Amino acid sequence: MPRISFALLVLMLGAAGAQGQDPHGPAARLDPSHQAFLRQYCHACHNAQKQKGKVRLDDLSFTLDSVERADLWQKVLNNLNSGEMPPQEEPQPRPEAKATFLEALSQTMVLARRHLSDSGGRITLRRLNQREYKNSIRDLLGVEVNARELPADGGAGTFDTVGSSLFMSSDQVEQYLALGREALDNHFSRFIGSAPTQVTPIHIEAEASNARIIKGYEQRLDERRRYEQWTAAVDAAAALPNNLALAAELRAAKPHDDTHWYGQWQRIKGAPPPSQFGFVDATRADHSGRRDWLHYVPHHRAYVEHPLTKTGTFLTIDDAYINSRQLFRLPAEWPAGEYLITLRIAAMDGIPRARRFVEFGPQHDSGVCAVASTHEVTGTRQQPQLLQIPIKLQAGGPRVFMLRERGSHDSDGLANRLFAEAKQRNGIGPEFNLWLDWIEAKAAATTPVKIMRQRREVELHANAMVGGTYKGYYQQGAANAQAFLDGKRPQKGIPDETEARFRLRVFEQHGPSFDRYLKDPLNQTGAQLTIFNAHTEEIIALPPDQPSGWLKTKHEVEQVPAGEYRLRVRIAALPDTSKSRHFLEVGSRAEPNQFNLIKTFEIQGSLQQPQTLELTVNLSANSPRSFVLRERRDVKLDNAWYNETVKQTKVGPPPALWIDWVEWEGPLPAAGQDEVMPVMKLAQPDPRAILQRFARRAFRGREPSAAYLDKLMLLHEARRQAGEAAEVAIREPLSAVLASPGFLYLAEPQANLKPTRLSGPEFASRLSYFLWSAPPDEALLAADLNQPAILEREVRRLIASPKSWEWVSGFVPQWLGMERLDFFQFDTTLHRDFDESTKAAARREVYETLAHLLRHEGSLRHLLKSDQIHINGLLAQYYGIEGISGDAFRPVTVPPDSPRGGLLGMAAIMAMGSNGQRSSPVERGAWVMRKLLHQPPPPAPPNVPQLSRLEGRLLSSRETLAMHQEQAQCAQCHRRIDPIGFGLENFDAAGKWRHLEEIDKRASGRLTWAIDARGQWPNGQGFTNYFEMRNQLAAMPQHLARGLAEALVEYALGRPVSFADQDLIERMVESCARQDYSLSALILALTSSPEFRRK
Amino acid sequence: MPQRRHFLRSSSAMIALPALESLGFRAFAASKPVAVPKRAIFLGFGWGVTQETWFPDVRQTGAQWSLPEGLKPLARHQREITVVQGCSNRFSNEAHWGSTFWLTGANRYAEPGQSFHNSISADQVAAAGLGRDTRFASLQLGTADAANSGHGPGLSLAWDRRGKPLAALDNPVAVFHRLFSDDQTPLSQRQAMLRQKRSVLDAVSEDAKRVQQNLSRLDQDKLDEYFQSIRDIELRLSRDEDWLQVPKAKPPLPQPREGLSGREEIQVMYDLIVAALKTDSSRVITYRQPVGTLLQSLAIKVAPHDMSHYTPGERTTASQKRDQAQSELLAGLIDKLKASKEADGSSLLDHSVLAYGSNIRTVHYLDNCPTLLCGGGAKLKQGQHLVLPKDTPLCNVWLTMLRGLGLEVERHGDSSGTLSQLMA
Repeated sequence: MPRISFALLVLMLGAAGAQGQDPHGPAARLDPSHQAFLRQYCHACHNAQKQKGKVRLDDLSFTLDSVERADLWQKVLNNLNSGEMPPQEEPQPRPEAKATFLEALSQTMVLARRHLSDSGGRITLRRLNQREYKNSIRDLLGVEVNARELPADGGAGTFDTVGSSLFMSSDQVEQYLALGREALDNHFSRFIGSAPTQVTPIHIEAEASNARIIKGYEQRLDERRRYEQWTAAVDAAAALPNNLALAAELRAAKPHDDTHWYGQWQRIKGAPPPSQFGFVDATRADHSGRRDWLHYVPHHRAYVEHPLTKTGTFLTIDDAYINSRQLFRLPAEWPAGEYLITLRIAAMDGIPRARRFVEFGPQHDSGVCAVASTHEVTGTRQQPQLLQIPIKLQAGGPRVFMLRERGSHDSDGLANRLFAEAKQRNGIGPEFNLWLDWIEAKAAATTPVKIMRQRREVELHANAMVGGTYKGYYQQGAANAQAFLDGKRPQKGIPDETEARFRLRVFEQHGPSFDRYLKDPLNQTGAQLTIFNAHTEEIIALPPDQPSGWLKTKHEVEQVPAGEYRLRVRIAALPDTSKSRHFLEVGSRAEPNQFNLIKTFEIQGSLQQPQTLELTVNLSANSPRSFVLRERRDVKLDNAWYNETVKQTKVGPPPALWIDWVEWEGPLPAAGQDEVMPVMKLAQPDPRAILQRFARRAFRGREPSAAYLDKLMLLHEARRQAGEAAEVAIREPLSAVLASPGFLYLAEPQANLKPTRLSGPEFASRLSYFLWSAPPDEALLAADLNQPAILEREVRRLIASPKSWEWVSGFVPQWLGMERLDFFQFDTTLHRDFDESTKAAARREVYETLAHLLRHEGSLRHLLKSDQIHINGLLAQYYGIEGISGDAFRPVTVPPDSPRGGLLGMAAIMAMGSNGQRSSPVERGAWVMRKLLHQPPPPAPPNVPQLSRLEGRLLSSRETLAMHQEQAQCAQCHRRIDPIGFGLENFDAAGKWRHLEEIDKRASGRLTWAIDARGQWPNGQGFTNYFEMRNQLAAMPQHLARGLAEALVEYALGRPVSFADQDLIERMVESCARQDYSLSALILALTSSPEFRRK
Repeated sequence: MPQRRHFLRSSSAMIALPALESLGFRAFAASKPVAVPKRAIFLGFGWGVTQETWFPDVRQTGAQWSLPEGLKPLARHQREITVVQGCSNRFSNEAHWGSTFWLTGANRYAEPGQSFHNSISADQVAAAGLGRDTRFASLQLGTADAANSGHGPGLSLAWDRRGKPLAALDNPVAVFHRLFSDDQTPLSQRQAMLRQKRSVLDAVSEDAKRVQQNLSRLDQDKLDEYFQSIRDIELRLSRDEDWLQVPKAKPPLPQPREGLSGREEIQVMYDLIVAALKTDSSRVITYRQPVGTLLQSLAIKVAPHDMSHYTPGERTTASQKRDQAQSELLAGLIDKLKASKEADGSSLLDHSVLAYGSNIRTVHYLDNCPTLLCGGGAKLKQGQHLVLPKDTPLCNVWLTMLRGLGLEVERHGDSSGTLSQLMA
């Protein structure tokens, strides 16, 4: 058969393509230029006549549009990769040519697989995943279930929302029934029926556990006494004449070795057995009477004799007989719910900061401890702190909790090593550090805290400030200066002529700006913001902070509690000012003159119609309480501009923004604190109505069928007849509801099986499961989402809600592939302070950063490069940043030469690009290509021959990876991956900055080299170091945006992205780019798209 | 099946006897020769092996072969183990999926429009035939460490006849209770509970019918998983009903400790496998073993994936230590299977077939899947080293094994036939 020429093939395909509207878009196609490679190396055997191995390649289409064809190409790829083809005796392609061909084919295969496995943009019916199930039960019943008992949501590398990989099994249905029943029992005991169990707060003095420690110490003293008695008796026997020769011989064998010497007691005639002194055998006697005595007892003694152990305990390291973990038990009868643990705790002076962290968590029956949270101890010996830890108790969950020093027990050997090092240092053991006075536990306040609101009319304070400064400093100062010059007599504040001339000059320079401010009638109703003199900022201060003049305002509390607060400002842009100045910056202030930007608003309100802006801030116990409002500024440029303007017009630039009032409100009700709607009232008649109402809520607004309710009623009646009380019998049908498809599946039926718009409740569910991983609330179900303005308002409300943390903690780690962080234990000998606590904080940094971007319309650019990072005290210590302490994460500004700022500067991201011991330029490079460049390299191919030429040699990373370039199969991908990873080599495996790398292998020696971070992008653009790399990356946010857009579509719609989505993704990225790559803009572009509301 | 019911009832009184002997006794009581039941065990270990030291020398085939380093701990069982080289699943392309297609041989992309497809696994084929007369048709054991152990997607080694994953019990304590913990409630109440369960299933099916309306074909398929789950529970309930009056077997071992992991976890799971077989609670068992925590319990610091890419030095040592530990554990399991005697004096191993392996050979190699077979249950040659032609379908091994177990199976996965070399 004559071969169809390629041109003809394309023509035919082209015709087919024009005719039908292929929903899959263009097929995966290998560029025809590669025909030459096949012709040269394959066709000789795999042609129409020879068909070696029953494979014919000369007529194989370059368009991979069917499973069969893709399989054949896969074989070609596999055989080239494994080096089997072309056979050794045949001519071999040059490595470069082979790599180029392999690269093209691998990429085409990726495309083809995506194309062929693309279900044409259809959304598969899907069940709730573990997270969604848990949250749905929480919102429905106000209780937590242990959803981990359900089988894992095993996906084939997709998001846990993708329906086609969420399966259902009989085990699972039974678990749904059991978990549902458990949750209902819990709900009934907490929200329905008799008064809840009284929870009497408990107080535990820590020193109570010292009795055990003292007893242990006395036991050790006793063991030592008995050891001394026994050894003295052995020595006495050895001194007898008939033993002398033997004794000399034994002593000579191992001089000064007591273990050896007393271990031979049996050979010494007349020596008493150790059992006579209460030891099982000589080994045991040696261990407790000598070894432990020398190793542990000095530390034990120091503990017992320490004055502070009279009134409290220390959390110690290692020696199990002391206090390596402080355990305490909460009463078993305390019902599930929220509780508050308070510790009085202190860290001793002179202890490095890395040791000032305490770990808290449950201890399970098996003795296994889990760290639930890590807290920085800021209290001192003189002034211990009260540390509060909120916890949730689950029914049947653990009631024993532990406290221990952070990182001291991460791996088995670590505590031992810490002990041994300290022993070396001071002869005793680890310095006593964390001191615990007492522990208290009580039920958390169930009644929501009172929400406070305080509005301040800003003109009062502003006019006083501006007027005072003007009149007092400028006007009076100038008058006095003039008087001084006139009379040459010292005046108040004017000691000499220099000062006098200065005062006159500044009055001339700045006075008019103040004067203008004070004369402007707008100051009667509000305050104007100026870029320099006279009024540069307004402040929203929550107690205890106060701007001057605050005392005149009535204040309800001395200090507002931690929580979420809403800030509001009524504001207008002033006429005849440039639009470029109509931006307001809001930032937090911890210290005078500090400004940490939170968000920038564009001001559209006018004096006729001012607008009210809102901003939600999350306050921790020790985060700043002052929020500063100012015109968008660049302090350096603004100064010059002000001076220039004064020079030209005698007065500074006119104010562009006017503020009417500011207010704060809070604390707002937190997530999960939605009011729980009890399933029924006690002694409520009409079970059918109860069931119907519950099913409708559980089904997210859909009506259950009458036949279904009939069957639920049968269940109820059967239980009644079996003698159960009404409020017990009803739990059986209620738990059936929680295992019914209406609850478990997000079904979107289509009336005529054609694509249509989602119904109201379906749309609401899609939104809420996307942003909250939870069911819609009443407000969302009631909203008319067909109106774009209402839809946008609701999406913004969902984003602003604390529940959107689920998006952050659910979507983000899957998007960024963060499961790798848990794939290995970090080698604590190499990376000591990258312990579990640091790892948890590092993970949290990623979440906090994304949460901040999400809720404050932050730009995706910040993920590439940023001068703001989100850290707590622990991470600040890890990163070596001064002045940040406490457990709350907060935005912190870093200098431009800091490697932190942006995803690549985060310890978690860098740690993922390692193997727990050494950094991996390959992992990091591939990650950057996947996530930041949107050029995912093909998956690791099977059956590529292993590189083993350099076996046993000690090589730097760069030298090792250079081997990738030797073999075409490797080079095809690694020539693009590795050079990116090199740019990140200044970060060690745990994300710390370094200039040198060292490997130390016992077998082959030690090698140290200076980090060389030169590298290049796949397009050939090079960089010489990390900072240059980061700058170049920051200039291409579009790739990150596109990758994220695809991920969002897949996550939100619960199906793989298809070719048909390209248009949607294009629009999303465009819209996002228009708004400075705002993350929320990207989300809004998706939720407002017609695709999002279609089924 | 009146006969079976009768059989069970008559045997219930003596179930407290050591179970294996009681089987013989049952046969006697029924005055009809009952063959000793056949059993199948599948053990999958994800990340493959160290090829240089795990595979026997290809020049020594047949019954005369010396054990390579990685299999040395199995020396005392060399006459019972057969190592097969040359097999692979030809559709496998995922270099990190050591278990997903191991027992199925399916093509991930076989279904156009879907990004994932699988088919029934060999153990489930076996369970359909061997699992009728036991309390549990099959048992799936697994580990909480699956994600880190190179197994790939799936919930266990087992995939049902529609190619859907079957869930595993991944905690030894849970396995123990599933096998041996008896419900203390009185019989009449338990019967009532079964009735109640059926009513619950009836109710939820009613809602499923409502949801089913106006679903596309694809969605119907998806919801069908739910209907199938309900049917499976119903089947299980019928089975429970059959077994309602039969107390669960007395546990031949104490309840394991909570919180086991790694080496200890595998060992206890192996003990539970023996216990399940001894008490005839199930005859088909799969176990998807942990690798990540195994390394941790051996104080190996190399991450599991890195270990599978062993380069000379630390990683190779780690990989070999892993082989050693796994072989030692397996040898212990075989010891116990040998030590458990059937009524006729033969051992449990004589009537069992055990397959031990992975879809990954080593690194990213998916050909010459490590395959070790053991036991007399499937009439396979024992004590052999077979080197088959390159890329022999691994499913041919499974097919040979299934037929050897006496099951009428035409083909399995991509099998092209049985392996005469393997048949005794």
